Order: sequence, then structure tokens, then C-alpha cells
Amino acid sequence: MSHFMDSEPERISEPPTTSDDSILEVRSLHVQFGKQHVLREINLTIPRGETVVIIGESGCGKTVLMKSLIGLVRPTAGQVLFDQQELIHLSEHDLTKQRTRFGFVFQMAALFDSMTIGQNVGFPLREHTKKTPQEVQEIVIERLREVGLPASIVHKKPAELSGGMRKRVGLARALAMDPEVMLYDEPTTGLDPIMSDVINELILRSRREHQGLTSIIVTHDMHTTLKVADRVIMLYPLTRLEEDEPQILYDGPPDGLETCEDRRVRQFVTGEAGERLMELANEQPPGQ
Amino acid sequence: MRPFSRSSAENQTSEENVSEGEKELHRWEEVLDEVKFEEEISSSSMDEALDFHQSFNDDHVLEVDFGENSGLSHDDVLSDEFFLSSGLPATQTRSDAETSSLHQSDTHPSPTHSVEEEETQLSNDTSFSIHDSVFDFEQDVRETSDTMEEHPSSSRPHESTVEQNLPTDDVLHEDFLQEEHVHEDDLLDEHEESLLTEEGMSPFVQASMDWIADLGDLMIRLVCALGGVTLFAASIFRWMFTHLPRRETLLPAFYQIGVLSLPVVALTGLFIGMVLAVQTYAQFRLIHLETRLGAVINISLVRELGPVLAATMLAGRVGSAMAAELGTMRVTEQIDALTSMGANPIRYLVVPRFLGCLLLIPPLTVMADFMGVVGGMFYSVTILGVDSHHYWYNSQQYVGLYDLFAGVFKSLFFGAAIAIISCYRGFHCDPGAEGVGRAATGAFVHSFVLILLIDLFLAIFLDSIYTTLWPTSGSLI
Repeated sequence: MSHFMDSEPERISEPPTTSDDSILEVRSLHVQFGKQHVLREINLTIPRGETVVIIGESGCGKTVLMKSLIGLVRPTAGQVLFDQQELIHLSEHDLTKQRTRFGFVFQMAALFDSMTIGQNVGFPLREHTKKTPQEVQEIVIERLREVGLPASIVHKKPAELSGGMRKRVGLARALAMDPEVMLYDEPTTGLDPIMSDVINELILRSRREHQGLTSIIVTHDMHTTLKVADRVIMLYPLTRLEEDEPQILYDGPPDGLETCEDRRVRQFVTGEAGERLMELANEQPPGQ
Repeated sequence: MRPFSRSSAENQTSEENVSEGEKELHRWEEVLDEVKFEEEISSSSMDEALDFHQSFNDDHVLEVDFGENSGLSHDDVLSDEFFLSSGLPATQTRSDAETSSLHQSDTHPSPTHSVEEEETQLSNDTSFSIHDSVFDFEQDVRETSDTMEEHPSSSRPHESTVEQNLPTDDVLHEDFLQEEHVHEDDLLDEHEESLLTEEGMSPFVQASMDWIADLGDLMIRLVCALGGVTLFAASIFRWMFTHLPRRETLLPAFYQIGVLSLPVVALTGLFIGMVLAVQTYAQFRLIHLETRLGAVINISLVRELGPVLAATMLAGRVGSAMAAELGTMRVTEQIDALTSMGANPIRYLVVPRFLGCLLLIPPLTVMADFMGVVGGMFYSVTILGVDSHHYWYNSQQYVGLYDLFAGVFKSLFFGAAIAIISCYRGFHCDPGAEGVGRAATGAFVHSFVLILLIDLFLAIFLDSIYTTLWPTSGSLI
């Protein structure tokens, strides 16, 4: 809302110019579920090899934006271009082919309950390659070692692992196909600080070990943001914005977050509730 | 008019005023009837009067000298000639005076001037404004009203013209509101009318409209659901015929649907055969047709109970489980994970389950039929003592291959319906544990209803086929 703002946002969302270097482009993206508008007029250009962190409070549409990038959420309006191709207009076969170029780490890992860890990590290899089971097994063990897990867990079921281990198995599965773009949906949520730092290190290590890997990370964790980000994008919930306000409050380097002129950005970075406490105080208990 | 004409003679004591109230009342009646200024006042003239009153209040221009040398009495002031001489129409001036009194009563809602004070003031200052005299008029009206309240018979409406014509406080206030807020009143009236139109609707009409709206909403949701299920089924068939699922996805589904369902289907068939024997034996014994039990039990099982029971058990055991499993996968983003890895979830998750239901329900139906026949025979022959030879002879006479075919043929549709409905409910599960539970329950209920519906239509269809193929054999039904 306008009264939160001290001044105009540092950068506003503008239609990006097509660049040969960009791997992902979002043009005037609008996503709506029923009558609920989640994303409005989002414009982004993400160059190859960049690590972009999308921050924002819960319900602002970060995960929806990320799922739109891979075609899991169909945009109400606008375009999402991956390598100059619009995903939703591709045939099933081509879409499947393009999706193998992505790796997606889900918030709760989303491992298949009915499969073992080995089957989970080897799933994309079995689906899209003609590797022998032995070759698949070798790659699985290699990926598990990359994320710091022993080979002995390949026969275990996901339910037998801790949250941090499941996250790392999810990361290993996402890296199995050597993707060009890695999408992380809140990779450190629900983990202890040490395991969160391990995940941050793995994100940095995967970037070092896979040349040209583009990473897009959705998180609330400012520690993760400041540690891994080349660029930070901050979204704001549409319900708290005026009609003419851009949904992207900040788009720039992580160093500029704390000095951003927009008070809402600074509030998020420093973790201050500010006016939200007043809203809490004004809320009436039910039945009164 | 009285308020403008408080003469010095009349302003002697308050007691005299009270005693002369009735006389004055009659005089006012005549004056008011003659003038009828309330009826003559139009809104435009009132506006003019208000304007005049405003300027009058501002300037205090109209003052009347009632001194001994003035030669004017208050009655003179009341006369039309006086008003005319003041350069104003009598009606307008009176209206103004009345409005002035209203204004004053409005600004002084509870005047504290006593009659004595007024008399003292009048005696001291023989010059007073019409503005003040209007206030006196109000006081007199109150006194008169008080007098009339002491005589209730005269205060009844329609009996006293005076009361009808006298502007009481309420009437004056209403007039004031009408004149000052004419536009607001119009808007308010329109708003009230619009509210009344809605609220004025009879409850029956309102209830009917609500019912029609609910029905429309239900129909829209039904059509949407039907369209969704149809598209989902079309997607299953497309993937089934273009990309067969891998063996490692088929075998677990087949094991879950076929092998694990076998014991419960067999047990159900066994018991339903025995129950049929128990229920029909007493009736048939009355007419000495116990040996026909085999025909009745076996034909019931093969045509209807075997397929329907097998399908019901499959819907309860497998359909709910499939909906819950797929719903959980949806909620925990496993289906999204599958999609993000380039695996089509319909092909990977739904087609194996569909094929499992479609291909394994016929053997399950045959198993239910077999176990039912065994159960019925066991109870009839062993427990009830029906002759074994005649039991089987009659069964052979009445149960044909077409009956067996009809039952198995129907089961194919039941299996397809169970798989489509259950997988659709699981795929479109609402978030959370509640959504998963609702999907599982809905899968069974909708599948069961659909099984019975399909059973009815297929029974009619198969009977017509039978009569077409064997016209002399009579109907199946």
C-alpha cells in the first residue's frame, strides 16, 4: 500500500528486452485462480548462469511464479519463454523434452513414497535415457555422494529418512539429469540452521560443478539469500498493493536490499513486522 | 394571526392567557381556515420564504413599533394590509414568520422564556421583531395544545379542525424536514422503494428464486464435473493407445487390484450364495419347488449379484485406495514432481490402474460367481437337504452361457467406471487431509452409484440383444 512507501520502488517491472544470453523470459505474466489474482504483470529476464533468489512474504506468489516457469501452472495471461520457446504451446513430446532440462527441488522434497531412494534418484534416468540399470545405479550413488549421503541408503524408503536427508535426496534427484536450470522451492524451510547451511553450500557447489547452471531459488531465508544470490527479486502480495503498483518491489543485487528506498523491502530484510502488528491488534476475536 | 399580534391588552397575566385560550382557539380556527396557508404553501414559495427569512434574520429589518404613539395594535400587525404595506405578500411573510419560528424552535429546542418574562420584556421594550413574535406563537400553540389535552374529546383527530390545522411541533418539524431536505427525501424514498421491492417479495417467491439459483449452480457444477471426467477419460484412452505403460508400473497395479482383491471378492461371493439359499428356500418349500433353488441362486449370481458385488468390493477396496493414494501424491506435490521430471502422470499413474481394473475385474467376477455357486450349493444340499441331482439339473436348464457372458461383459464397464472415477477424484483432490478423505469417500460413493446406473442400462441393452438373437426364447429380464 502506498502509505508503506517512502518513495517509489527502486526498480519497477518493465518488459524485458529479448537477449540471446537469457535462458528464461517472463512477459506480462498474470496468474489467477478462480477470482484470486496471484501474479500481475510480471516481467523478468534471467540470463544463463545467474543465481536468482525470489523473496517475499507467504502468499505473494513466489512458488506460483516458479511453477509457471516450468509449465506446472498455466498462466492466465502473458508468456513464459524458455530458451526462446513458449512452453505451454509445445507438444507433449517437446514439452517433456524441455522439462528434462530443468531440475526442481520441491519444498517437502516430494519423493515418491512407493519407491526406494535409489529408484527416486534414478527415476528421470530410467524414464528418459537408455542407460542400463547398472549405469543408473552408478549415477545414483554418485549424485548421492555429491549431496553428502552414503550409498547405503539407496534401498531405504523416503519415510525412513530425516527431513534434511530427504531434501538432499530431492536435490540429488534434481541433479540426476545434469539440468541447465535448477529451481529450488524453499530449500531450507523446516531445517535446522546447520542443515540449512549445508543446503546453501550444496547450492553453491552444484553451481560450481555444473558449468553454466542457472539457479532460481524461492525462499524466505535472508541468510540463504545473501549467501547464494547474484540477484534478488522481491514480490509483494497483490492484496496489499494498489492497482497501479508493480508487484516486484525490488530487482537488484543482494547488497542493495538493506539500503533500498522502499520501506517494505527493508522491513522484510530486517524481519520487522511494523504495521502488521497494528493489524494484529485491530483484529477482533471471533464472536465479538 | 396570533403569534404576530400579542397585544399589550392580552399580555397581562399568564392566567388570563390560559382562560382566554379557548376563545383564541376559535379565532385562530377562523383565521387559519380562511388563510389555509399550509395548503397554499408550495415548495417554491417556501424556498422564497426561507430566503427572505434568512435575509430578515441577518438584517433585522422588519421591526414594528408598538409604542403608545405608534397607533398599531398586534391585531393590526396580523392583518393582510399590514403585510402588504411591508411590501411582502401576506402569505409569504406569514410563511416566513412560520419558518422563522421553526428555525428558532430548532435552534432553541427547549425555550425557557416564561410568559412573565415575555410580558416584562414587552413592557420594557415596546418594539419587538416579528422574529420574536413567531416564537410567542409557538408558545401559544403549546399552551393551546396543553389546554386541549385537558379535554381529550376535543383533541381527537377529525373532530377538531383546529387540531388539524394547528401546526404542532411534530408537524412543524416534518414540514421543516420536507422543505429543507426535499432532495434528500426524494433520494431516500427511492432507496426505500428499492429496498421494499426486494424485501417486499413474498417468501415463497424468494424461496423459489433461491431454489432455482441453487439448482442452476448444481447443474453448472454437474456439467463441469461431467466435462472434466470425460476429458480425463479421453486422456487415459489416448495415453493407453499411444504409449503403453512400462511393465514395472503395470505389475504393482495389477497385483494391488487383482491379487489382493481376490480373497475378499471370493469370500463375499461365498456368503452371498449361502444367503440366497437361506432366503429363497422357505418360499420355494411352500410350493414344493426346493429342487429349483439351484436355478434361482445361480442365475441371480451369474447375471447380477456376482458382477455387482465384485465391482462393489473393488470400488470399496481399490477405488478408495487409488483416490487416497493419488490425492496424497497431489497434496505432497509428487504429481508435480513427476511432471517436472518429464513423466506424464496420466501415463505413469492412471493408465496402469485403469488397465488393472479393466482387465482384472472379469476374473474377479467369475471368482465371485464361482464362490457364490459353491456357497449356494453347499447350503442347499448339505444344510437344507435339497437333492443334489435336481439342484444341478435345474441350474443347467435355466443358466446359459449368455448369462455368464452378460455378467462378465457388464463387469468390464464397472471396472472402467471405478478406475476413471477414483483416479479423477484423486487427481483433483482438495488440499489437506480433509481433501484426501473426501476424495476417497467420493470415489466409492460415485463409483457405486455409477455401477448401479450402468447395470440398469446394460441389463436393458443385453436383454434387447438376447431377444434379437433368440426371439423365441423370451426375455432375460
